[in-house]
Amino acid sequence: MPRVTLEIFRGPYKPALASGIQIESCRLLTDLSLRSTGGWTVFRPAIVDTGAPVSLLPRRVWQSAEVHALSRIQVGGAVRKPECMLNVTLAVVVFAIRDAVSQLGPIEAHALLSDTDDCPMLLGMRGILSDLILHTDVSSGEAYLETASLLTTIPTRP
Amino acid sequence: MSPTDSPPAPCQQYWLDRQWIHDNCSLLVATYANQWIAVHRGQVLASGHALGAVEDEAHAKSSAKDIVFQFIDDGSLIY
Repeated sequence: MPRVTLEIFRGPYKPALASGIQIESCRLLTDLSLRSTGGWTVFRPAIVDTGAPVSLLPRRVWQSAEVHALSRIQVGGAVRKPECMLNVTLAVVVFAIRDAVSQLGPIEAHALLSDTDDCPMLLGMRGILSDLILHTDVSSGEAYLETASLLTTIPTRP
Repeated sequence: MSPTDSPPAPCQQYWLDRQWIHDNCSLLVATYANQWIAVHRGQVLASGHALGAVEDEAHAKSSAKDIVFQFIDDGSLIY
């Protein structure tokens, strides 16, 4: 089955350092590109986030991509104050993800297109992590995404 | 997939810089927490909270097409 290895990014958990406690922060990363009118955008690292229902893309990432806008919505994180909310466009885009060797895609999926550039890029569940197989074994240094079949194109479902 | 249905793979330098960021993550988290950074040939070309501005500054400094733009997460963000 086609498989893309994820980077296990392990660094200091900075919020605890102020209290003198050293623990590890761990994220999974992959490199993604979006289909654009002239081809594809360059690959950029994104955080693989099973806590994100839909992928989140900063403005610079999606502004040259081919997008099918669906609706304007507001989203937020743990803090629900109005000033902490992000204005985004719910849209459909076409992803490709890869490591140094292999690639998965094109994958059509919903995404949140941020109005601004000051947010991270998150690869969320909808159409990506919900449709691919995510395997993580951080203690063994192993994490990857793979397709359930030889098909690498996954259509968007309503 | 047709040829146009597949993005071109990044060059070797891209993966070398991805590895450099990985190897230097503690230092990068200490310096650039929750910022975007631009890295090429093991050097941070630009940093900041807005990806667009970081990309513009990096491209003004280097004509390389394989610059890595990565968000340096310090663990404090709950998405």
